[in-house]
Amino acid sequence: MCYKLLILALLVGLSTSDIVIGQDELVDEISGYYTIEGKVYAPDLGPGGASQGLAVQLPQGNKWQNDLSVSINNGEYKGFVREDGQFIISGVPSGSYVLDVYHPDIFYEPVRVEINPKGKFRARKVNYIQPAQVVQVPYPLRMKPLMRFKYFQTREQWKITDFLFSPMVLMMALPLLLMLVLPKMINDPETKKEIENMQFSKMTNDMPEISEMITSLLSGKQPEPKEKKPVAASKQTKKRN
Amino acid sequence: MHRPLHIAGGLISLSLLLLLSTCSALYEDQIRKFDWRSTHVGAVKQVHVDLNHFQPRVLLSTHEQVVASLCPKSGEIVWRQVLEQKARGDIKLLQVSGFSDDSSDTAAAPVGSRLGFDMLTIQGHAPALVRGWNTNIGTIEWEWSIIPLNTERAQDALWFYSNSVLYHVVPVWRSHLEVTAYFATSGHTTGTTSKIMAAWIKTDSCLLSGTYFVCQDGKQLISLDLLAKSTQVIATSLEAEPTDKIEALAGLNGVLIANKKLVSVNKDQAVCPELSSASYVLGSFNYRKVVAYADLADGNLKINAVYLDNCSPVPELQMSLAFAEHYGTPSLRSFDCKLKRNGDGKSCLFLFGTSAESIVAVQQGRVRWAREESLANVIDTQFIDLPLADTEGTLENEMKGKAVDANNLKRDIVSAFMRRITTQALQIKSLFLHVIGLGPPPTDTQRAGLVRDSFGLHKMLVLLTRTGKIFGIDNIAGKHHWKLYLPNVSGFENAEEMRLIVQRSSKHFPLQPLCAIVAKFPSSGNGVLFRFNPITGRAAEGGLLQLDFQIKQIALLPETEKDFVKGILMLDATNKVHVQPKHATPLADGMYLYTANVKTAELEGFYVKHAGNDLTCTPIWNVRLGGHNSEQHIIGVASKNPIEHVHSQGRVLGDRSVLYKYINPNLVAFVTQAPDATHKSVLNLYLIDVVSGSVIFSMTHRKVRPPLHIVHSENWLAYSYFNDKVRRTEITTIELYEGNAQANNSVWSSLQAPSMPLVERQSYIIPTIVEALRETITERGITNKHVLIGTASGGIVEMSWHLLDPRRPISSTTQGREEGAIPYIPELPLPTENHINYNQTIARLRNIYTAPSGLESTCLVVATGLDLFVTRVAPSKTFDILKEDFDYILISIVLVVLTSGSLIVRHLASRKLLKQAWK
Repeated sequence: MCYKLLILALLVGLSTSDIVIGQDELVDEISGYYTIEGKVYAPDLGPGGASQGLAVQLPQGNKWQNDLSVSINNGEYKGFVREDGQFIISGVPSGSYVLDVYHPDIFYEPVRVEINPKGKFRARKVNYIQPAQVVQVPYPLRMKPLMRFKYFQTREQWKITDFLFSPMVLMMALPLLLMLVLPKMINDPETKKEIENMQFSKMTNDMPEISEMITSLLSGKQPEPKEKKPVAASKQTKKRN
Repeated sequence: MHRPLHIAGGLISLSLLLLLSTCSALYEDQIRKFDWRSTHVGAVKQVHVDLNHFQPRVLLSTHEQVVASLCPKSGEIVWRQVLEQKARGDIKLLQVSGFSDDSSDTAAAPVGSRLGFDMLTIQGHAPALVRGWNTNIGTIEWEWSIIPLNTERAQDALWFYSNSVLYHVVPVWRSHLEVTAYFATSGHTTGTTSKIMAAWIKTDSCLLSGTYFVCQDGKQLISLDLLAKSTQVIATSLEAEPTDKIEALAGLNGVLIANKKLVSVNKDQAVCPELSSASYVLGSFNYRKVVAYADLADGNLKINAVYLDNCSPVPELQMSLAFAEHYGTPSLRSFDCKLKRNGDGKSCLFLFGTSAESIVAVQQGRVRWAREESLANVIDTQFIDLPLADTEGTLENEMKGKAVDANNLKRDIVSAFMRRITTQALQIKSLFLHVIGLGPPPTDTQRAGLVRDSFGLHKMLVLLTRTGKIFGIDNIAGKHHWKLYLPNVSGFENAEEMRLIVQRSSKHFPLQPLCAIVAKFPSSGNGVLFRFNPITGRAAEGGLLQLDFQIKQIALLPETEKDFVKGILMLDATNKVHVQPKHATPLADGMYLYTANVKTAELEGFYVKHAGNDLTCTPIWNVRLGGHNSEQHIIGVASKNPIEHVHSQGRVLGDRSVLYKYINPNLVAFVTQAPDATHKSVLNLYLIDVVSGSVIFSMTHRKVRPPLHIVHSENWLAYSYFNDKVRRTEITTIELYEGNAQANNSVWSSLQAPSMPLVERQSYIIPTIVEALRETITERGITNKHVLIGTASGGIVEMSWHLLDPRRPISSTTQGREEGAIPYIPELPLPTENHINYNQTIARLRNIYTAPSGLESTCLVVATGLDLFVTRVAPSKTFDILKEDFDYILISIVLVVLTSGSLIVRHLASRKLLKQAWK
């Protein structure tokens, strides 16, 4: 209820506002206090902002002006943005300041503002590693949204390719493939037979039967070690089953 | 184009980060799953309720220097603007158009015109900032400022508003008043400053009431109408000398509250002098002016009102309601009425500010909503384990029975087995009774869902606030389970805040946990102890205990054997020691204490001895850090968390040898600061063993100034400061090592300490302003330690120690690589994925507290400031529980497919063999 009215008020406000901020040079230049001026550019407001990832977009109706704060020295001096993004920070003595624009979702690059004792302004990029290096930026400040903060990891989506190439599936599928495809690829019947004999006899010999395993487990006895039986013998046991 | 070096560095560090991948970011679907935030505005200063506006609203300014609009129905924040801190942000006046007295109603000019304003605030004195706000969405509309010629005088300046003009009143005590008028919205002066001679004005006894400047002198009120043509001084005599300071009644010109009664110094304004109440407020009802007043009597809040013109009562506004004790003493701040929707009568909203810093809204004879604004000033926190469920409790009992009565018990297997069978039978019985509904009724805490979970993640978060209000909050749901208000407590000297101490944890089952608050009684300066049960929030062991001495230092003793209470050892102002509770006194034998005087930078060490039935306390060492001219002041003291466990005793080097850590639990870091002629400001760091008093290490930083934040843990220390020379915030880290051999690996003794440790140190640039530092802590200390860095934007960044490590090699050597150290890069990366509070920023972040959970991997975190944020972090990822997105379905499918596949294949194979055999 409150918020709905608020959006309405926002619309009303947008249509009627044309007051100038920081109207006159009220600040006495002799007193040594100056006013920093600038404008913060709005992020795009539009539907589906949240899903766009890195695009500088916020959902429709977001009050970005409210979440945004312009501050120097962690709020020692502060400026507030008007609906159109303009801001001033008044009553700042001369010196060198890093001006930060904080918004929980959008990154704005900080700017170093230098006011010399004569009241001349200079704005430059912040470079902590080489403080002597000067890259000037225009003054009055123009703060542009650079990107939307990416706070979250993206959760892995379930894809069929991921599933197929996962080690577990590969482990299962590859031997199966080899087992089924390889014998068929060999055309020579002699070798084929040889291979078949070799493979299957070994496998049946090595693989203990499940029923045997369980009985041995329950009785507590070690399964009697199977001797290497000839192929024919194994066939016989199979027949009996 | 710009700083290619930096970008390259960033890339390297980023790739290394990816390789290490020590920090785990949140997933988007985990928002609000482990964390919650509550936003606050602070104790109310000025408030206006307006229900008849097209958007009903509550506009307020607070002592935390915040302006905000609340929803009158729910009390939620519609918008909030956090103004500057300190003197610059101090809100002198909040003026809402249409809310001034009748003479200045013309201010309600049409929206958008340069003459009108919605709401304006005046802050600070030099410069004084005047800001006009759009109350609907909370953005600024215009701003102007003035710099007074004499900033010192302007400190006491007062402002008032009349007919779209703001008047700036600068009192020059015992001399005259300087009044300057400005157009409210533009800041243009309307003329010159007028000087009004007034030799009768005195500091601390004067105020403004509308256009009247009023001073109290004994039984007399001397007043002057600043806007009147003639500067006639009016003297009004009171019946008795006021006991409290006089107050102005907002909205009426020249009306004051003295001795709980209304007094008018304006002969055109009649008041109702027979009323007597603690708080008055002016409003309107049925288009007539009404004075409403409210008083607390026997836990009941009585609201009354009279029409101002004939002093007859307004029966529609009378009400009485039960008022909870934990809100403290209420004072009525504002009210407004509006027609009910169905047209019968009016409904009024009364807004109260209370001594416990709550904002309470009363409507139709009940509390409609209440905001706990004392939470904007949390000064100490503790996480308390929740009590066990009944069934688990009996199990715990059995375990303890074994531990305590080990000698009496027959230790044969049969009896133990019998015990186990009987307890389990009892458990089954109680379960059965519970199912059929015959079991014992669940306790209050159980009904509230306050039962320990299997991982110890669910705890009771106890918060102590500066006003003396204590909260018991569910750390998962954020529900306030109980609130307590101690009206007469305050912090100590040396800017030390009150303390919240856990005297008995929840581990000793039939015994309830016990917490204590150590504070100062403001009127006498003596110490106060308040003991309470942190689960129920009820006073325990007699509750409030007034001590007959001033507390200088406190320490916690080991648990007593009888009732498992940790005694509190207190050092008083005359260097005598006391123990509370008394029966824990013998345990204080052999304790060491130290004190630090912030102003003189003097440290003193004491030794406590128990002889006969007395405790004696002898000073054994002292250290003066004050420097030559005693101009150094202590600005930071950091000791280690006493519950910390160090799991790994050393660090494996590249050549497979071990570098042993210097782990001294008695090591405390002290940082002093002093102005310096050549270097502007000098910061000194001392690492001192507070048992022996020996200085282990010291270091000096030149051209460096606060804000300073320190974190001290295991064998390392990290601190942040502002480097004035290169104008950036830096973090210096120090690690201490004993060397290749360990002097004594079983017991640490400060008195037979190993020789000076090896010190590794390094500094890093951090591209933000640091607001708070804290290390993560876990149950056994096996998990990696991360440093939580609170930044000025209100975010908390989880930083791996690998990045802060002072052993990061400058040049990439093979040794460094083998050790697993990342090559040194001056700037620390602050990746957004490592912000543990994502976009839930904490306004004016002040402190971060951490506590271990029952899981070794997980650490509980609470960040305080204007807002409160509670979450948990897993520095080495949750290695001890299955991942939340663990794919149970996939693994079951794979298992089933594998088994069935092997069975089918076996069957097929046997068939094939059979066929072959028949060939």
